[in-house]
Amino acid sequence: MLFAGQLSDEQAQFREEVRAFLAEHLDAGMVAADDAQRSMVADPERSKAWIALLRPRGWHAGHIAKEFGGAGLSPIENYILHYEMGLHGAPALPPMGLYYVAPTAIEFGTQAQRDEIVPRVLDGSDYWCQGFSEPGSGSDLASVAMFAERRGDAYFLNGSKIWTTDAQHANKIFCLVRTRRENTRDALSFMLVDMAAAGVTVRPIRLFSGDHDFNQVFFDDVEIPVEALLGEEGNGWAVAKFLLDIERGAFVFGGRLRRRFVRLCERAQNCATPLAGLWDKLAQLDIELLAYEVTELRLGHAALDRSNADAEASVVKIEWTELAQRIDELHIAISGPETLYADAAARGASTRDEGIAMPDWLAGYFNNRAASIYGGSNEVQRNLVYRALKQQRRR
Amino acid sequence: MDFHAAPEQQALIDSAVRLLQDHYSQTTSNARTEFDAERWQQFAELGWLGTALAEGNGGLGLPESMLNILVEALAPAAMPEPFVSQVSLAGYLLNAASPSARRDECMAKWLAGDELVALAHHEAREQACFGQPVHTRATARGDELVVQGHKAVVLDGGRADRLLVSARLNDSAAMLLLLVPQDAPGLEVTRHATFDGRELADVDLNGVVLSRDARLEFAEPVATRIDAALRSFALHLAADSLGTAKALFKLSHEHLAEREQFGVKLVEFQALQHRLVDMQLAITRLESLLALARTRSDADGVSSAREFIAAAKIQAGVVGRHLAHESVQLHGAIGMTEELLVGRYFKRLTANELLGGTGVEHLRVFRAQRALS
Repeated sequence: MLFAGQLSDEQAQFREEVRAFLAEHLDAGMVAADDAQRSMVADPERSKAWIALLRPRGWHAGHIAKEFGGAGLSPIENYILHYEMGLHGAPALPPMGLYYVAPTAIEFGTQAQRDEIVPRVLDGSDYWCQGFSEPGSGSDLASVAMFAERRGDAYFLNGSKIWTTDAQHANKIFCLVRTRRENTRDALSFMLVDMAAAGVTVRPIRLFSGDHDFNQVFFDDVEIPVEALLGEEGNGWAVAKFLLDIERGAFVFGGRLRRRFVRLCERAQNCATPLAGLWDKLAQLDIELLAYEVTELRLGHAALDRSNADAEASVVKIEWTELAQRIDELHIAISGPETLYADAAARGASTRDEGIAMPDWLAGYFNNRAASIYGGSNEVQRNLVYRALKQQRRR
Repeated sequence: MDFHAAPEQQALIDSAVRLLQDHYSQTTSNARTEFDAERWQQFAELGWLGTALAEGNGGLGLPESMLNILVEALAPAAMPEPFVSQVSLAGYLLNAASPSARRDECMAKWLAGDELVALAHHEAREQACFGQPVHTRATARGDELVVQGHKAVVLDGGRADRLLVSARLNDSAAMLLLLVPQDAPGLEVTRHATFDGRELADVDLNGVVLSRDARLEFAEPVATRIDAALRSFALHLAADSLGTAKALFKLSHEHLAEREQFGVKLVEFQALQHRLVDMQLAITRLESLLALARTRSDADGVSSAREFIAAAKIQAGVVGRHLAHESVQLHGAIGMTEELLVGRYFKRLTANELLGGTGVEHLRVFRAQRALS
């Protein structure tokens, strides 16, 4: 719809190929489960089933080069693939391994690390989680305190990581740790840790929705080999920053947001509690969603070579999270007391739903307040955008 | 799919920026509001008037999007010269009309910058922009047409050398577009200066007698063509608002970076930095919607692209107000005065919102096109 007349013949043909694939392989049950998903984060079980279907074409790793087992799609093709998957309700893919670890290992890893890490991400043997935030280091990520002490041929980790999504499902965790006591960025290193290592414990953190998305992970003198270092010792900040920046090349939210919006409109049509000016509000949301779709493509995918890439990634992050939250907010505004009943029919099968009775969309509304906090809070994103504006003014 | 400015686009933008630097250096709200014939001649010489006109008609034959980009680049001037209304209304309709001696002569003079042409279509001040009935009547009398009626909100109507008047033929539903010289007997034009330095007019046609060749011919129904011209006008107003919003952003950022209070530059306050970021995000949204409206207008024509033009025009209003309000607030009391350009831009954005279909009207279009009900 958005791209009619804008795609090259080749790109249009690719989109048809994607659509035909989705029509053939995406079954109604999968779509219904995805629509009922209670957060924007992928569900491990459902994404695994979907990845198995994508794997023969390498589309689960569209952004990864062919030589490493991906499909090696161009940024625009990758955008089309993910936009269409989101629009048609395909399960979201878990980002930590596919989008974060694999490209980062390709960029910074030794040959041995690449050979070890990338195939295991792509074939689903490893499920990764992210050890960045700590109780004392949220927005100020560079202040992480977890310490890795070198003793002989091993590091010993002590400290804890928090807000770790899916640590309960993951068998691997990547961590930003301190390898020297100084409070400087070159004291940081990037390490890959086996969750089964002795001394690693996972404590669930239940959300107020009752769901279990997050955990705290404790490291009590966990011994890891020096080969677990990704990049050089002291180069952790650069690795972490690369990892955070590449999300712009792989993540596409436009299709998922569009689907969410369409579902809100369906609900608005059957709304028992009409809101004054509801359809004007929906139209305004639609307009801003159109703007977002173009922004995502323009800043996030069609211009990967641009100099102020991280500021543009911040713009995209602020925009999609705040739009998603506004869609949810309108949903609550047009709902009534029926929402207080949580009939089985209104609930899907989320593996993270641990039992406070409420409709899935409502849990989604609660859970997605996290969107403007995770991945760097939107306040931090605004700081980054301002930094770019300041540089622009000086030029 | 490329969102970078192509070389020919960049050249057009550069020529606009050069002209602005040389001739539009006013820095206050109410400085020069008079039309400058010399400037207009220069626009003609640069080929700007004919940007989107067919090459066969003496234009550059560039797509509508290029004209839109030029309008955006010229916006910081907040110029009194009626570039936007002239190119999107007069230019669009003259270009669309079938060749005839009368049209060709009129278009040549218009393209040369010697004459202005105003569209006299709407008939009441309170009217919506699109789909309005026309009561003005042209009655055939021998070889002549006698025109009777009233027109309102005629942009550039007093300054124009000729009017393009829409009228019904006799009692039929068929609409005509007639070229009426400003000095035609029976034509009475009352000029009004707008708060932002534009000029519009009310027009009475009391038995204006025209020869039959005053009638412009079109391959499509006249009403369709007028509708398209108005959509094109809306598209270009949105670009003017985008360029104006960007100019306001720049002024506000400069002000915060220069102004010192509490012993620091105001821009050091994070709360104010974030206000600037939110202004920039609003601008980015409008940029994206205009990119979409431009692409679709070039691909399918402005009529088929109406929902995207509507989206851009609505958002231009929303973003324009956001930028205007914040710019005044961030400047503080000085922002309220005529000492700065802030007020001039504010007024321009406000007028842009009121012309070419308001947000309310375009929202109706958008909702209908996208079945949002």
